[in-house]
Amino acid sequence: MSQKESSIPSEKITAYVDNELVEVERDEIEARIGNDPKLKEICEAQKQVKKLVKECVLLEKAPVHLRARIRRSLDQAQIVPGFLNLISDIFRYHAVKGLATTCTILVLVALPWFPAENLTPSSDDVIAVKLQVIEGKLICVDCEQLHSEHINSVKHSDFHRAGLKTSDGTIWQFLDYGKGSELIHDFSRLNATMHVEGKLINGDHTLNVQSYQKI
Amino acid sequence: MIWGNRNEQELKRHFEEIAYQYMDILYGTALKMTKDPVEAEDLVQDTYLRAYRFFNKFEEGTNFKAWIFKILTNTFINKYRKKAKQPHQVDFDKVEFLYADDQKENSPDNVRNLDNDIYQKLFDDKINDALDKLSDEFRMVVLLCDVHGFAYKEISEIASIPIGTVMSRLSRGRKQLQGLLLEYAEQEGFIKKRSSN
Repeated sequence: MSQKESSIPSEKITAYVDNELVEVERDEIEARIGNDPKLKEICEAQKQVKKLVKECVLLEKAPVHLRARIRRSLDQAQIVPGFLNLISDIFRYHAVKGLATTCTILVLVALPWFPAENLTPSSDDVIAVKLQVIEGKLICVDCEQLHSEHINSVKHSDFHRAGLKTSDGTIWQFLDYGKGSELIHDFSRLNATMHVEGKLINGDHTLNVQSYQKI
Repeated sequence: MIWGNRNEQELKRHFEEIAYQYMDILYGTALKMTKDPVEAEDLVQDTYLRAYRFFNKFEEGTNFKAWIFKILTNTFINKYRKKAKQPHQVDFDKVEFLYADDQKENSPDNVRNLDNDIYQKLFDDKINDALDKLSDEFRMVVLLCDVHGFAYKEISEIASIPIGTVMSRLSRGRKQLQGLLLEYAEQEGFIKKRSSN
């Protein structure tokens, strides 16, 4: 058996067994099976396991009293219209999450009513530790994340969101405000090496950019 | 949306008509997940209750079975999983030999190990035991695919995981099952015990 023949990922073999491959890929596997007895054997074994599970796994029937029990509980239940239904359900199982969700929704609803100037950070809003100068390459934060997770085939969108990647691999994001907005949204600078000066925000690898310079 | 011009009573009747036919398979699946009859009943009851309360979200004409299975799965993950018993974890080293290097895969012993007839000699309870020994994540996708016949896309939606994860869990779950079944076959004497190296 050649190396190439044995290199079919097991997930693909599983998808073949489940008839989930597109026609071209299925034909490709079938062609390989014809020349590779071991691959054929692996497929057959998986088909056999699938068949056994289907035929032999016993699902017990519901006890007779369960239907009556469920009917009683439904008699006390009501279909609550959408939004309230969701909130009450979250509260039922996760009180803290429910509270957090409700607060978030209220904030999101209230946000548009505030004047725009209130949303821009003043120097008091930013918990600045000190002014830092960081050197690195301007990259798209989303592209970089997908790349690091080896999801290269997924296209996140046609737009990029710039951040700064330092030589040790740390990725800094910018506050979307003032000079930071210029860096985030001007894709022409992507891949350029930059000096960016700014204030640290909450120690969270986010900078409130004061100035920047291409090296 | 399913409301239409129906009043609550008609809606309840409609829900019961659609939903009750799945009670046996929901209970059977719940029992496989929780491994406890009392918890399985609670899980199914909670599933029906949630399904009913959210029934206005169900779009008529779409797959109700997949929809109620999603609720069952979510309810299990949210409420029951933390207190569920930890399943016996399979020693992966013992099953990986099936997919080991080419030389080992081609050895006559392993070729014989994969003989389909061996599986047919195993009893149903051994196969159920093997399934019970899988981790929750693997058992769930194997049940959804092999027992209930859901397509990958449906499983992805039911279990709220990407299709790639469905494939990976199925692949690994079946490998573990295969390894466990071979162990049983060895214990029953249907095949010769593997050498320790």
